[in-house]
Amino acid sequence: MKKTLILLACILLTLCGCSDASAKITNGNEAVVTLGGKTYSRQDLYSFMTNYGGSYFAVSNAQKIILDNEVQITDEMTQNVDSTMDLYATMLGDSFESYLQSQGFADTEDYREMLIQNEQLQQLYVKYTEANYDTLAQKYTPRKIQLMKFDNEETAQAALEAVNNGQDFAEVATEKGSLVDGASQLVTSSSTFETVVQYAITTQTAGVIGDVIANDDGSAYYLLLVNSSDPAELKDEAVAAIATISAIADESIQYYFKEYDFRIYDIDLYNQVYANYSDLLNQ
Amino acid sequence: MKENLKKYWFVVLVGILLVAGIGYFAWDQTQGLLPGKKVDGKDVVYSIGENNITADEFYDQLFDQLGAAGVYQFIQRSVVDAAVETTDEMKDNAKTNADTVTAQFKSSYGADYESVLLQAIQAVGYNSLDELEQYFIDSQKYETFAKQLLEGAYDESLKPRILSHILVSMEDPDNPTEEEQAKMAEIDTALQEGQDFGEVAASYSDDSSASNNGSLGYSDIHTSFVSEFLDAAMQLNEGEVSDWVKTEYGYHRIKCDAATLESLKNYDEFYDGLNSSNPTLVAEGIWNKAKEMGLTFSDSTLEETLLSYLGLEGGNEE
Repeated sequence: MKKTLILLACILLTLCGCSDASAKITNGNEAVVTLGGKTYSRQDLYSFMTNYGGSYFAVSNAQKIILDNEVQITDEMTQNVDSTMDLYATMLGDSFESYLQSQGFADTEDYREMLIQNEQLQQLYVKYTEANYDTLAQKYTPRKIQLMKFDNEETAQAALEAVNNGQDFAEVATEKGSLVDGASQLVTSSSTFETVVQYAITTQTAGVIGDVIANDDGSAYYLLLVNSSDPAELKDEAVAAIATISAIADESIQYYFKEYDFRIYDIDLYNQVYANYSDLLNQ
Repeated sequence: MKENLKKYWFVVLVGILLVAGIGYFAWDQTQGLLPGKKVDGKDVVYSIGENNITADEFYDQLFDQLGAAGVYQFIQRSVVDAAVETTDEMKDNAKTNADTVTAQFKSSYGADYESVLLQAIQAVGYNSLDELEQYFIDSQKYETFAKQLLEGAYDESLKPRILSHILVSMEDPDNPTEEEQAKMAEIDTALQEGQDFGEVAASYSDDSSASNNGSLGYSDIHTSFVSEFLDAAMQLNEGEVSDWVKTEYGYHRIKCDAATLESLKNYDEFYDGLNSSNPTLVAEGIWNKAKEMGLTFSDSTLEETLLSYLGLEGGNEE
C-alpha cells in the first residue's frame, strides 16, 4: 500500500514537470556540414529553417492541401496559367527565369505552381460564397441596378422626364450623355459609389425610378433604377461579385482552416503561427 | 491490514490528501500546455484535415525551400568568425546597436517586445535574446570581410568614382530661356563664393538627386549615363567640378567627390557598386575560405545545390 502510494506520488510529481510540446526530427544529431572543426547538424538546420520561415511554409503547405481537396484543377485554369506564362516568357525572353528568381521563385515550375494555386484560390472563394450565400447576401446586399450620372441638374431632370415617359433607361443615358454607362450592372455594398448613391441603392424600391440624386457638393446628379433586390433571383451573378470582394479572401481561408481543424504540435511553430496567422488556428 | 488502517487512519488520510493534491497540481500544470502528437512513433508538427505532417516531412519541405540558405548561413558565420578578429570597437558598436534596437522594440511593442524581438533574431539564425549583441558583432565582421574581398576587385582602369551633379532642366537645351540662364548664373556665383556643392545642389538642382545633395553615388565607365555626361564625368579628378555640360536634359555641373581608392573606401556606394559588378565575389571568397577550413558535406548533392544557390556552379577548388 505504502509503495503504491509512493509510486503514484512519483508519477504525479513527474507530470508536474510537463512542458509544451516540441516536435523533434529523427537523427537530429546527424551532421549536415562540417568546417573549422565545427559540425552543424540536421537539428541545427531544422531550427534555422523553422525560425526563418516555419509559419509561412506550414500555412502555405496546409493551404495547398485544402485547395487540392476542395478545388479540382480544370482545363480552363491550366489554359489561363499557360497564357500568363507565355505572355511573360515573350515579354522577358531569356531573362524570364532570372527575373522569376529575383522575385523569389526557384524556377518556372515554381512560378507555375503559384499561378495554379491562385486559380484554385479564386474558385475556393466562389465555393465559400456559394456555401454561405444567405449570410453574405444579407451583409453585402447585392442589387441589379442601372445608373446615370450628369454634371448638371437640368440634364438629369430631362433624363428623368424621358424615362418617366417610357423611354429605355440605357438609351436615355446614351442620348443625354451620361457620364457612366446606363446598362444593367450587379453591385454590392462594397461597390464604390458616392455615399448618397450607395444609400439610394440599398433603400430604393425595385422597379421604381427615384428623384434625381445630388451629391454633397452639387458636382454630380444621378438617376437610379433598381431592377432587382432579390438575393435568390440574383444568386449566380451575386456569388461571382461577392467572391471578388477582398474581405472574402480572408474569410474563406479562415473558414476552411477551421473546417480542416488546422493544429500545431510544436510550441515554437505555434508561437510563430499565432503571431502571424492567429485567425487560422483552432487552438 | 484493517487493523493497521484503523490504527494509522490519520496518516493514511493525510497520504491520500497529499496524493490528491499532487494529482490536482499536476493536472493544473498541464492545462494550457500545447499537447504533442505522434504518428507511427514520429513527432507530428502540424495537422490539417486527415493529414499529419511529421517533423521529418516538414524538414524535407523546408529543406527544398531554405536548405541551401541555411547551410550557407552556417558556413558564412564560421568563415567570417575565423577570418576577422573581433575588435573592441566592434563590441562597443554592437552593444550600442543592441541597446538601440531593444529600445525601439520596447517602444513599438510594449510588454510583448521580447517575444517579437526573439522571433526577429531567430529569423536570422540566432537562438536567444542573449545573442543580440553577437548578431551585431557578426554583422560588422561580415561587412569587414566582404569589403576586403571587394577592394580586391578594384580596377582603376574602369575609373570608379563617386559623382554629384546640379541640373538645370530645359525643354530646349539648344535655346535656354532667360530664366534658365539666370539660374545657371546664380549657381555659378554660389559655387564661386565657396558654397558647398551639395548645398547648392539641394537648393537649385532640378534633378531628384537634389534631395541627396546632388549625389549620384557610384559610377564608372560602364554606367549608363548619356555620353556627354559620362565623358565629362570620367575626365574629372577627385574634388574637381566640371564646366556646364549640355545634355538632352539640360545643363549640368558635375563634381567628382571621390576617385582614389582611399577616398572611395569612405563610401558604401563604392562597395555596393563593386558588389553589383561582381555579384558572386563575396560568396566565392567565403566558399574558398570554407574549403581552406576543411568544409565537408554529409551529402554531395547538398554541395551541388549550394554552389547553384550561390551562383558558383562548377565549384572553385583551389
